[in-house]
Amino acid sequence: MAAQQSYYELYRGSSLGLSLTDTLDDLINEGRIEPQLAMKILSTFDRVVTEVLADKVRARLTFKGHLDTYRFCDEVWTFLIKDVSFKLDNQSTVSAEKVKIVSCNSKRPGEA
Amino acid sequence: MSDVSFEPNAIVRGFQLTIVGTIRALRNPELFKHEHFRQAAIAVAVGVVIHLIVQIPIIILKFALYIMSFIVNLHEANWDDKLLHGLGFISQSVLQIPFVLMTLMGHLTPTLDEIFMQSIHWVDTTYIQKHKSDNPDTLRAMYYPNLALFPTKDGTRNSQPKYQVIIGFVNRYGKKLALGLGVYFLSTLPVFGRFVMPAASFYTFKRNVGTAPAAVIFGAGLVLPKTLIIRFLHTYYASRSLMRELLDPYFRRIKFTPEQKRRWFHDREGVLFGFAFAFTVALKTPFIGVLMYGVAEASTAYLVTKITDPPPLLQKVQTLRRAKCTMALPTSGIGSGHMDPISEAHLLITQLYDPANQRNPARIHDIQARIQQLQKGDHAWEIADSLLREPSAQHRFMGALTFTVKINVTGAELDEIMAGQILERLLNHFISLVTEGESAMVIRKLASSLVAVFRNSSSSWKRALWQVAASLAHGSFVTEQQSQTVDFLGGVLPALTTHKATALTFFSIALAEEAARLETEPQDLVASVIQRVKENINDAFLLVRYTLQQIAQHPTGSEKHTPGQILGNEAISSWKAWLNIYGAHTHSTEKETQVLVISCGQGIIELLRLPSFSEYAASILTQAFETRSWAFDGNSISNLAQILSNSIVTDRLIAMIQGEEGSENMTFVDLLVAYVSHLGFNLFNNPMEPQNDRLLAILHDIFKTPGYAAIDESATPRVLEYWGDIAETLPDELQSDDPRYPIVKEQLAKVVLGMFNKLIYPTAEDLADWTDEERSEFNAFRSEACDYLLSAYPTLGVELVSVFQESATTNLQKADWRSFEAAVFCIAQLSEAVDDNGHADQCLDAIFGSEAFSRLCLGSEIDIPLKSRQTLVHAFGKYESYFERHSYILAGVLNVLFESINFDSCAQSASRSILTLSKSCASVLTPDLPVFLDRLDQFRSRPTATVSTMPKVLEGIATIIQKLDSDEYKVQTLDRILTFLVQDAVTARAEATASEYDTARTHAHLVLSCIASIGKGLRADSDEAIVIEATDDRGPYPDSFWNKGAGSGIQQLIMQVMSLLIVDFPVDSAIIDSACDILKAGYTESTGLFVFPPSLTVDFIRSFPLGISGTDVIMATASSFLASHSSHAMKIREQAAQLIVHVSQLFASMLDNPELYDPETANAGIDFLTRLLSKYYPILFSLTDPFPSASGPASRDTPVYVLLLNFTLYALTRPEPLVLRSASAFWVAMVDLRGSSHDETAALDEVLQRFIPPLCGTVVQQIAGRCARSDLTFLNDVLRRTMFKKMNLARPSLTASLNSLDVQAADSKTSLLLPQDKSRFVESMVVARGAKAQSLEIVRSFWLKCRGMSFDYAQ
Repeated sequence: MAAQQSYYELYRGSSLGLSLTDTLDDLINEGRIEPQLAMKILSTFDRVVTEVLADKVRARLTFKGHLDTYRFCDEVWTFLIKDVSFKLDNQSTVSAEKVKIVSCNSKRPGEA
Repeated sequence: MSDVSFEPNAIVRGFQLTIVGTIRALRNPELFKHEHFRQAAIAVAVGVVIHLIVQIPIIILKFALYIMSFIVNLHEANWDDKLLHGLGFISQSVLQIPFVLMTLMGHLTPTLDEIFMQSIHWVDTTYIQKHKSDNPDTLRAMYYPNLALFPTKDGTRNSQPKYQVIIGFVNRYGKKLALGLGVYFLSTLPVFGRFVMPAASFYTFKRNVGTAPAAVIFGAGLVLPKTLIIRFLHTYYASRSLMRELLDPYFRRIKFTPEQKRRWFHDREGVLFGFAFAFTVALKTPFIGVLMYGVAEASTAYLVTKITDPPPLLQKVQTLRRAKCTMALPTSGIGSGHMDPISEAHLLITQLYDPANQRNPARIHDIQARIQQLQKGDHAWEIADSLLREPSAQHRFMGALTFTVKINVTGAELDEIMAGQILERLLNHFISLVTEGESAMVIRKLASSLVAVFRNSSSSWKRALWQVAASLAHGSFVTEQQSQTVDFLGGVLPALTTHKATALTFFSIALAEEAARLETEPQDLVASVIQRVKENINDAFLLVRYTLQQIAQHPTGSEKHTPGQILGNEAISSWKAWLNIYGAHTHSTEKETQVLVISCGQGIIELLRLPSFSEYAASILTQAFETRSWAFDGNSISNLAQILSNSIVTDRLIAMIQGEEGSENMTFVDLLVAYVSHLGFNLFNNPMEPQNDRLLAILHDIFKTPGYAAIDESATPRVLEYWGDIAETLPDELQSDDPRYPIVKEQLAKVVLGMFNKLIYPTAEDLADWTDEERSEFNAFRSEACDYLLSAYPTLGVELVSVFQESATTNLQKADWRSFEAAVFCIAQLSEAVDDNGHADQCLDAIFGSEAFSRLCLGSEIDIPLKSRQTLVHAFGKYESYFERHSYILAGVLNVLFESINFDSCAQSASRSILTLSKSCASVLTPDLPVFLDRLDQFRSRPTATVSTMPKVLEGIATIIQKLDSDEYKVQTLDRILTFLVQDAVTARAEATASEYDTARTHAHLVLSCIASIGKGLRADSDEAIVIEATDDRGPYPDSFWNKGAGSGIQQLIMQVMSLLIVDFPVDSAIIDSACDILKAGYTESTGLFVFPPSLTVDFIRSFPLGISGTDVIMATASSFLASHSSHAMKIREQAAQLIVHVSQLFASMLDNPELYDPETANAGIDFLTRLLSKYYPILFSLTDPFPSASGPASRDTPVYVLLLNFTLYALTRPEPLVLRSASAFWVAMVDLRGSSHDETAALDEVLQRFIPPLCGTVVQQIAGRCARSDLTFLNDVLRRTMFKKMNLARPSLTASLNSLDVQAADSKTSLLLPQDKSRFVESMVVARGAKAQSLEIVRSFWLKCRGMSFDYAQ
């Protein structure tokens, strides 16, 4: 069994994560689960989302734009890109005026 | 009643209940099976034995006196009488021993309590049976279920140390004895003594039974002999005492204050005396009297049902215990109704694993629920002990589990001493089971129980591995201190057998895994545990190294599942598990341990040579290489290279490449890739090390593995991924003058050649056997390959394209279509790198300028397979810039495309490529327009002319039309196209009339999509900037060629089609989408065919009723319409007002008829309002009259704008997230509005003055715990903007809303918000000054405070 490691909580802010948290709130409110279980569920969510995005997602896109700002602080890269054009798998294009990319190290301290 | 309760009738009634109760109790078949009677029998036996032991010296003494009487005159002496009297007293007293023992047992074990509950259950059952014909409503309530709901009064009693119970018992009896003796000695005093006994009786009797009976007894005491009075009083007090003991189970549950209890006894004194009197006498019967104790307890249950009402159910108790009751009831049928917990647990586990129950999930669920109850209950420790002694492994497993559960639920209540005791018990079990050769399943579970003890915060256990190892070596528990007197490595480990070492390793892994889990817990709670875990790191690695050394010295061969192999694999797992702990905490500081870790890694690398370990060792080493590369030093790396290039590992890899072995060898491929990845570019050092050279050769050979990549073999994708990383990082890592650069470049080129064959698409026969998932896997692999090509291009340059160009040209000539397809596929993917810059134009010329390609363009004489055609037409679309530069080839290419569009599998790609090329080369294609129109006429009747292909082709042609110089010529061509579209629309209309709705919708959708696409194609060049804000004095619908000139007929045709397919047509969301696209096509134009009169849009939007699917698109079109006219907003005042009134009518119907509420309409409508606010607010706020048809309570007499704002406030309270969000966005926009003139500003202020108080009220209600957590962000936006922008209005409104707010805790009904909390909230919001993050934090804290801290889990 692989030893457990901690995962980033940033996907809790996604619409899926927010909906899950709202649902857990409802279940606690109705007395159907305890907050401790909700915490465990959120930890599992953190792990599963990370794994699924890494292993299962095959979709890809390319994008072009003008890099406006970038920074690297506490192992987190942040890129602010302007006038971005995304090219999706199905050849369709999506444009955005401004995009912020936040990228965290997938390996934690202690890992190689 | 009080003074008459001790009267003859009551006493007789009590006596009567004794008899009936006893008869009832004796009929209960379960009674004598009870544990109590076993205890009673033992007590009797003990009494008899003691009696005999005491009797022997008494008989000897009596016999001696008898002999002595012949010698001494004993008639004269009285010492012999005293002696005999004393002996008689001792003899009598000894007879009471069983009774005393049983009374004591009643305090030590719960058997009497269980008899009482079982009997009360029995009484309920017989009562129901007796009255089964009666009306159930008239029956009394049940005692058993209600009593079972109540916790026993001293629930902790059984968990008290037994010596405390005994001391308490002795204390109580000692006090009674002392009091009795005191009264007795006082009564022997002369004169005064005569009154002592009657006075004492009077005093106690008066308190208990009243003045009159006490006076009678006092009087009798003066007259009757003292012994008689003593006997009476003794019996009275004994019966009272007995009664209290018998009723103890009842009073444990029904909680009375001492005063209430005294009154309870007082009111029933007579009945209780009568009831207990008979039992008091019966219990004095020598030897067997004690057996009556259980019967008396059982009869008491009957007595209780006669002298009390069923216990009232406390609401809270009922709620809390209902689950327990319902869970307990089914399982009561499983066992014997009220079985002792230990036997019940045994029985339940037997039933849990009984195959007969496996198909009955409900029963399994009930059993598990009950087992869990027992595992958490008071008897869990005894149950665990007992289960671990069972012969069945399943019971023992559950025994270990019970320990874990109980340790975890006891949690903080466990003190250090208790934790030590549990550890000793557990460790002894662990050792004895390991010694007996227990299965791994149970040992692992017990190991995790030991870890549970370690993890407990009260435990001070540190060197756990050392202690467990020493105990295993010793054969029984040794203390932590004692264990450390023997050297761990030199003394303890060598003393362990393989089985014991395996058990120790199980424990070691369990400890490490638990520590890893602790990483995710709040560190302030678990820091001390982690600290203790860290003290074991060195021992854990010593154990691993020792085990690996033993295996190296005594290899086990290739057999699997031998004890040696199991131990070896566990040691490998243990290394991995502890590596994580060590890595996370101390790997940079503990250099000594680092050496140990590396030496373990070397040991595991050596295990690769042993067939029975190689696979598992490879998988663990791969993981370690990827995440813990510091666990390897130069020697390890060198050893691994040696093993990978020349050992059984190499043989396995070669066997796989040759197709002799399958995917089981992927572990070695993973290890190989992990190794070369670890080396990075050092792998290519010049001169290359021989073993690395050999490994590179293996890596390239993997591309020769037979079968399709990703389907038949997984090695190629894995290796390609590695080369992709190398190709991607090369430009950043190495300068082009680095000696390694040319080597790497050569390797990358070799990969291109190697992988080409893997890219060849499967034959139709092979493909037919594949599932959709497999097809998608293979396509994903091809995409990976494309990524590699793009990554390698910067290094390999145009040579890369030329490789594929040569392949494409050669295979085209040879008509080897599969290879041609693979080559064209690669060329298409490389377009991203070479299309714009023209670097590969020469290569492309070589293909597209070839004679073979010209023949291909000519058409039908070459039978090109569909897949190759599909890839080719796709590639055309990717090289738009190239074809723009080489327009002379375009005609041939478009010929191929129009030909391909007739094939189902190519139609999509071909239509897309037609569109792409038409757009990019429109100007050069205008002369070919008639040809395209002819091809279009042929195509439109084909089955491939669908909504996904036809609009693209039409858009492409329209783009070319747009480039025509003459408007008249445009009209001609468009007329030709639109005429057939009108015909199709008429057909669709006819189909709808004939009720063929599905066909009608399909046709209508196609026609409208085609027209919308024409509109897109006819748009002015996108390069020209469109200035929406520019002042436009021409009005919303200026005269032009397209509405007043020759083009007006065409525009009329389009409006005719719209009318045919919208008005009274069975529209669906797809049709609405397309119709809206037609309308929107002209919004960005100032003049043109698609610039329609504003009334067309307004009428279109108003024609749709409430709740129709596609409302969001319709309202978005309305917003786009208003936005397109924003530069002359006042010129479409009437249309804008009509749209706003339309929305208000929709909202009014939803407010008046809540059942009609439609979230989509609400959301779309509010969104529309938000978007119009900035430019059209004067029109909105000028609608001060109700709309004409207003009749409902919400709309009657309500101005339109007020109705709309009321609805947005209502939307803020809705649970649908999108509605709430759009309403929040609306209010943010409202608050941000700025009037452009004094009058407008005044009007705006008036509106805000009216609406900010209810807005604050609504938001406060929502953030006071009512809204969902995810809504807070949006509600906060409203609040912070309002506070910041309109402070003078918002602050008093917020304060007033908070003051009227009362948030109560759900359970205690106490207010959760204090006045200072409310004022602090207002002040904090003011101080935040609209800052987003700061105010969101304040709002979140407020929400949490109102909801309760249980909701703090997600922070």
